[in-house]
Amino acid sequence: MARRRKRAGLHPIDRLSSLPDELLLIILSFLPTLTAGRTSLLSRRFRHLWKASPSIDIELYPYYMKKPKYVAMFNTVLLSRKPSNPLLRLRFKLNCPDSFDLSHSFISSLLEHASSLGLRHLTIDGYWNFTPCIPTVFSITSLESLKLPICDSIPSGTTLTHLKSLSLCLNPTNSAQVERLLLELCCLEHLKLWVSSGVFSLSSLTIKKLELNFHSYSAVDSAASARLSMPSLNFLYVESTFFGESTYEHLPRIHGNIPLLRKSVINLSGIHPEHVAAVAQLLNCISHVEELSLHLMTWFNKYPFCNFLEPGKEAPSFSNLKHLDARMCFHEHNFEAVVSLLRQSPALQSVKLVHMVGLKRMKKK
Amino acid sequence: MARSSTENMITLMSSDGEEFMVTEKVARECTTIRNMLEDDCVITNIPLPNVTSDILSMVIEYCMEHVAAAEKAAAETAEKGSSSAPAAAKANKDLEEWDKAFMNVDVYTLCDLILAANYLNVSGLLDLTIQTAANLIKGKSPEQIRKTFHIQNDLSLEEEEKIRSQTPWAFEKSE
Repeated sequence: MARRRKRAGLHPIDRLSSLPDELLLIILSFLPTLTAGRTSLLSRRFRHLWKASPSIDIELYPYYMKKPKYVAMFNTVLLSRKPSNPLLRLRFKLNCPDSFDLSHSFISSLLEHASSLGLRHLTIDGYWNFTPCIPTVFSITSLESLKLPICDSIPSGTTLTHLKSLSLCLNPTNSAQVERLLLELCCLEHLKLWVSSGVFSLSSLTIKKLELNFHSYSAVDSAASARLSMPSLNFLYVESTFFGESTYEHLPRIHGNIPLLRKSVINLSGIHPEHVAAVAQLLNCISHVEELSLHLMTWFNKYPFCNFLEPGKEAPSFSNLKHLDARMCFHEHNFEAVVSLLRQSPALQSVKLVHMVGLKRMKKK
Repeated sequence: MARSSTENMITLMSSDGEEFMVTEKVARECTTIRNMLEDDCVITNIPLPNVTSDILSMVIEYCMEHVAAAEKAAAETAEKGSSSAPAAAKANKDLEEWDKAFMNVDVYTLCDLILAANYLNVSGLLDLTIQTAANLIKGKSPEQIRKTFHIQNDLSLEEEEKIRSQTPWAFEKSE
């Protein structure tokens, strides 16, 4: 690397300012808007440039900023933006449950303006009730990717014909609307759902990648059950996390029709002896995969030795499985279960087993 | 590295007249060159009047490393039928480490690399260099950013005052 120049010493030259606007705007688009705005004070070259960045990324903390200031900020960065400066990416996070005094109509007006600027990627985060703004979100027809926080209602008849990637919270209140939404989205390839509870049926002809994150905080939630009908699906990720003893029975049930599945990552924590049937059902549903990562964390203090297969039962036949990566506690029963699974996997090429108690690692070929 | 004699070699010529012999595969990492080759497949000598030799040698170094990594992954896939996830993850991490070390350059070189990556249309290198430049701006005061990039402040005090009063939210400690 000796040939690299070190010119900075004697005659420092400002090379950054000589880059064309187009490239400086890409650099600015990699920055949060508060930081990008700070570059206005660098020099005349940078004074107005940041306002044309194709990305707006704002996190609001009401303790730091009072209402007139953030209204002024949104006016500068978004509402006064001209169509000659298209906006590709908009992310905002409102870290402010109740004390926040921005009105829904103000947020909706921001979204409408973003829509008129051809917005493609929208991420809304935070603990604020966005529900009244949701119809506006679903009217931004140029969207290609969308991530939403908890929302209780989704309008029907959406025209998001360019949407390829969607991330949503699914609960019993909105599950019927989400099921209908999936049928309406004709281009969707990637779906990520955060699920608390409920019985739902997800159908899509186009989805290739599905991520399901189950989390249950209270005993009031009933176990989630998902029926999948996704003929194009080739990647499935399932994660479940449970908090507290009262939620132990909530391991999700997953079944359905996913014939093209090639790869699956299963990450279950808080496994309890009563989960064995749900795990078996999940494994049966994905038994045609070529690549499987299976991470099982038991509820260690209370049930350190729970089984991922019923003792004495054969594992499902994994006839296509080439690569297995299993992390769990390999006590006697589980070791037998893994041996049974390996016997049922004639196409296997590589196996990685990680014992999750202590730091022992075992590798087999 | 053993190469088959049938592999096409292409000469890239920098703005200062230095010639670099590379395989067609490495040259094709630059979308600009790939398009030239597709328009006229008999080209073997390509002048690049916008790129100096020291920058061009770095772009080639980047392309060679990434082609080698892709070839290694492809060879493993061919050998085993499909790539194994842990091995692929490790290879990705190694390449990331290499990228990180590659970005240990002064800001002048970094800006030249951004220009070259954009001109030659090497999307991986453009993302890497832009991200590196953005990281050098993050978390710094305007004064610190100027110092990092040797930017001359040509704003008058009145102009500075005006900017501060128009966008007060940008100059508060809220990051």
